[in-house]
Amino acid sequence: MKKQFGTRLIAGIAAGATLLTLSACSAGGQDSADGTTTITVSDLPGSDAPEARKIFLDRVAAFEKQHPDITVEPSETIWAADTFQAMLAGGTMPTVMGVPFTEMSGLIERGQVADISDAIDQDSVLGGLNENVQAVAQNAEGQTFGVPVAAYSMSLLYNRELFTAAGLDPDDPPTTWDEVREAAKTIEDKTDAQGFQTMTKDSTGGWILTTQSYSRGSELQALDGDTVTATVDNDATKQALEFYRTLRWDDDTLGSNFLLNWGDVNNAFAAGTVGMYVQGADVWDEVVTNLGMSADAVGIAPLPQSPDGLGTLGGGTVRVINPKATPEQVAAGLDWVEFLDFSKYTDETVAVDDAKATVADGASVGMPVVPVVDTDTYDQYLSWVDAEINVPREHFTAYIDSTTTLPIVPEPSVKAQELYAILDSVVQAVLTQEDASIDDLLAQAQKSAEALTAP
Amino acid sequence: MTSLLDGPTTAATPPDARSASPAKRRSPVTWVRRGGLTTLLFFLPLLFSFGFFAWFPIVRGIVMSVQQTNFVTDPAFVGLDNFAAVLADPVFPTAVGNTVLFTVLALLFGFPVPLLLSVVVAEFRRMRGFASVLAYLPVIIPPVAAVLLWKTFYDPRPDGLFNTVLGWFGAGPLAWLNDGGLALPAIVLQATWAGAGTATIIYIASLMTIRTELYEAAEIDGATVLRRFWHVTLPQLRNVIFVMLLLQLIGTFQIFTEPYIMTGGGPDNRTTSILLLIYRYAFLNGDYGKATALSLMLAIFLALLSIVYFRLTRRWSAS
Amino acid sequence: MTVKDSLPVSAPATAAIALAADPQQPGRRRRRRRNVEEADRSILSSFDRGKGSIRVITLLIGALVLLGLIVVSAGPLLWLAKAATSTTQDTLSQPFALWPSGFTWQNLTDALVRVQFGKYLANTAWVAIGSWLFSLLVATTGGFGLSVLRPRYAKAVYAGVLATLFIPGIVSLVPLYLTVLDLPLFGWNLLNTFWAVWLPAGASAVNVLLVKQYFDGIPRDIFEAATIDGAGAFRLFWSITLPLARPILGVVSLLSLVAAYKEFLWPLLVLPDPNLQPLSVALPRLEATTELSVYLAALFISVLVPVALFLVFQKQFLRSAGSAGAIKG
Repeated sequence: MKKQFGTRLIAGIAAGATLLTLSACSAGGQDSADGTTTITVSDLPGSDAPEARKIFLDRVAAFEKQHPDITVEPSETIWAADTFQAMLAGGTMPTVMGVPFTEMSGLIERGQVADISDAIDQDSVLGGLNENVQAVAQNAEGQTFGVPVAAYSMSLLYNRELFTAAGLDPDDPPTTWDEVREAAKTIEDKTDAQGFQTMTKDSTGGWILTTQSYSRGSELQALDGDTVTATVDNDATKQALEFYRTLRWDDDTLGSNFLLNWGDVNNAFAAGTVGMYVQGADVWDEVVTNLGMSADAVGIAPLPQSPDGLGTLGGGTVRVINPKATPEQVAAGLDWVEFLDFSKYTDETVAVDDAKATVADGASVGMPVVPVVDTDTYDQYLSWVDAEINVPREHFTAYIDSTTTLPIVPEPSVKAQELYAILDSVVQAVLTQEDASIDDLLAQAQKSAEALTAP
Repeated sequence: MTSLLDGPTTAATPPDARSASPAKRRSPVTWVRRGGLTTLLFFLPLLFSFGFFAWFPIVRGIVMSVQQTNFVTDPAFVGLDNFAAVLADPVFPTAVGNTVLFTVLALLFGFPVPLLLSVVVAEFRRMRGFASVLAYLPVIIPPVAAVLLWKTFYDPRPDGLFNTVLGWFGAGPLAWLNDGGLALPAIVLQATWAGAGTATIIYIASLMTIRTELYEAAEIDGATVLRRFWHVTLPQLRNVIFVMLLLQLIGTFQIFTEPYIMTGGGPDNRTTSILLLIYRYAFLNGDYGKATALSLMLAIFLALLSIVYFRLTRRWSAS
Repeated sequence: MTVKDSLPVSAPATAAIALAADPQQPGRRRRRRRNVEEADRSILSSFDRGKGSIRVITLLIGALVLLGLIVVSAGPLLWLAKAATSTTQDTLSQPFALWPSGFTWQNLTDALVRVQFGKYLANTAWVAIGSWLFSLLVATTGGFGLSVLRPRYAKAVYAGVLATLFIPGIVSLVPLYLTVLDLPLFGWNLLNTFWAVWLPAGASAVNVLLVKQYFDGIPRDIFEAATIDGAGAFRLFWSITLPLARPILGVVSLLSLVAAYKEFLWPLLVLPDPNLQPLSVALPRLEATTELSVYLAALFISVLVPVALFLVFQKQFLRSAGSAGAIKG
């Protein structure tokens, strides 16, 4: 009771507070006098995906029919790093908004998303999610600030055709970093393509370096109680950078451009000029559907591990609620999330319709992802949509198996994006200066990273 | 009558030039009858646009530099914390150093080229128009397109465009933007290519206004062509040159598009400019306090340059 | 001039152009130019040009400079034209070979159809036209108020406009952005609307000062005579001042159109919706998501439009660019 009063009080204060200016900003929808609750929701597919858009709008209608007291206003808003703060500042953040895992720690810390601990406890389906995945939406005190609805983990993407051309077995991808190095050399020698590539720009360099560090045995921030310490200067990260250095300067299997962001590496991979790289497994749709790479050429393997590897880095989408939402809007928002994102796991018709629409829009069903629900539920879902699966899942069996065995390590909990930006320059330095001292760079980065975690 | 012909300095002499009476005590009614409302109507667009999009943001920027805000709760006053945070950021000195280096290089590359080019083109008789068009052509290209085009040229592969050219001379291949030492000069080279046309055209226009008697006198005195350039052309262009210098200085201190598109500030922050840092603070990290604090510091510096500039141009235009 | 800066207000350029407009003597500049054309001499005299050695040297230098200009200025554009019609493979492996695999017109149609390039082009036009209209509205009415009507508060307003010249736009970049997100008093969110680009474009001190100074140069007897004839402020403005101000309106138009066309950072911030983005914002995104040949074709089209306009209106472009040079003391 007390906690609920607190939430309500905070929500009330927040709603009453005017932002910098005279005009009050609503949370995107109001409770009207007749008792209906209006919520705005993000991620309405654009008109370039008409089938998915229609399904989404149909679902809105179905939801409103089921909940006559709730009005849903869908918007095409999608999350983007450089516009999200603007949404908050402009008061246009939808009541329900999808954000990436990476952002959660920052949003929770800055108080920019609603605490939904109480609302979610009353909810059986949302309350029974995969605990490990749910952890990304919680703070150290165990309060919940969002619902994970999709998850992926980092993997090793490789070009099966290049593997064949180089005389490597596409069904037996490398499982350790040493094997990756050897495979890269072989591809470089036997084909025109570049053996390996890595992202370096727009915070992605740090993101991949963090992934690499996990697979070699260390996190970059240590959590002790509720104090977070930066642990950037560690042996695993050192090994990861040493790996980059070797591929770049000894083997010359990393190509010549080291200012690459997420889009650049996918573009190069889809063009068939690169053998392997580390990327989220859910990039499948991007390289195959959007960039036109042959589905048979895409291989996805679990992230290679060192003997003391911790697992792989995971990410995904969390639905969060606008911090200025009223308790009624919070409840309505969670109902919507359950309806939108989880009924396909409980209702066969919804699952099949959803899959059919995805196929009709030219996108993929059966992509390699990490289930947000438990394995049994997910397998049941897969059996429902079996007829619609349009990806060669046999090309990433090992990855799919690994999603239940290889631990998923969350991203750094404090200012992950800023930490990544710091590490970007470390990665860029190692790749562009042959004499760069990895020890010095890491010591320097450690200092900057400590400034981020300083209270 | 004479007062009516005066320029800006005396613009505010009589409040209503058309009315003979001083009208010290005015009631709202007489104000309206004298056209006060109509006058205000004419000022409305200016007051609206400047009020909302110039004056208010400037004041707000100064206020925000001493605040911390998350846009959900009320902003908190934090004194000079934001400034301290900027100064403590290890990237800050790097960005300042890069920006200064950028400015110096831009002057070295971008300053003599248009000057010499314009002097030669001004000597052209038939081809002057054609040469001017050519010189100005890069300026016409949208900056983003020009930057992207050059980014393609700077392809670090041996088959890259510039590396192919170097290959003809047995040199290279260079890593260009991927080389910490070369990235900044490479960006300056692009910026010079894109910007030199403006300066060239301005110099040509100024050269055309140099009084012919000066050259004739110098020629009669037996001055060689080089001496005429040195003793007549350059001194006559002195003011324009100085103005262009300051303009370039102020422009290059706000460099953003080029590094943003070409390198994202890399490698290893070797091309991170002050404006890029402001952009990162505000639009990636959501730290508007730090962003406005750094903006304010840069703005004060640029305002000083502008004042120097304005004083000089005024003095010259008065003489 | 303002175009180099990505920020809405550029202090120095204003002063340069404002001074260059040289309002007090509308006739003088033309006379000066004619003199120059008549005299048509520079460092070299006709006598020098007659001398053999100097002639050879000047011809040689001239030819070299011209050749250099062609290679440096036009070269990249010609290469782009070639690459826009070549295959990705050709461009990557033999950047200088002329169409080894033949012409690929497909790139251009792909850029227009698949990448929806026309949409970005139309957005660019919208951004430019709206910015131009608002610049013109604010500059002419404001300039008229400051120069002709001159109420008591004109001095303060003038000082305020002048002040924005010395306070670089960068200080207000972030707050301006926040203002656009939530317009004070009105509470409008202009994000993802063209208004976010149009309205701030009006707040250009350069344009206001240029127009004001030009109006200052119009003899006051004209206004007095019209007032005696019973003309009100609107008629003074519309029927007398504006027709006289055509030259300066041309300069302001060109400045604001070109500035709007070249703007990058501001539309990047306020038009995150890809369906509204102008070319400058869309191109960098296309770079990472489009095949190289199609992307270069898109780049080529985006360059083609302004270059074509420039070649048609080169006199106007060069004159307005060169006019800043008239600051000479």
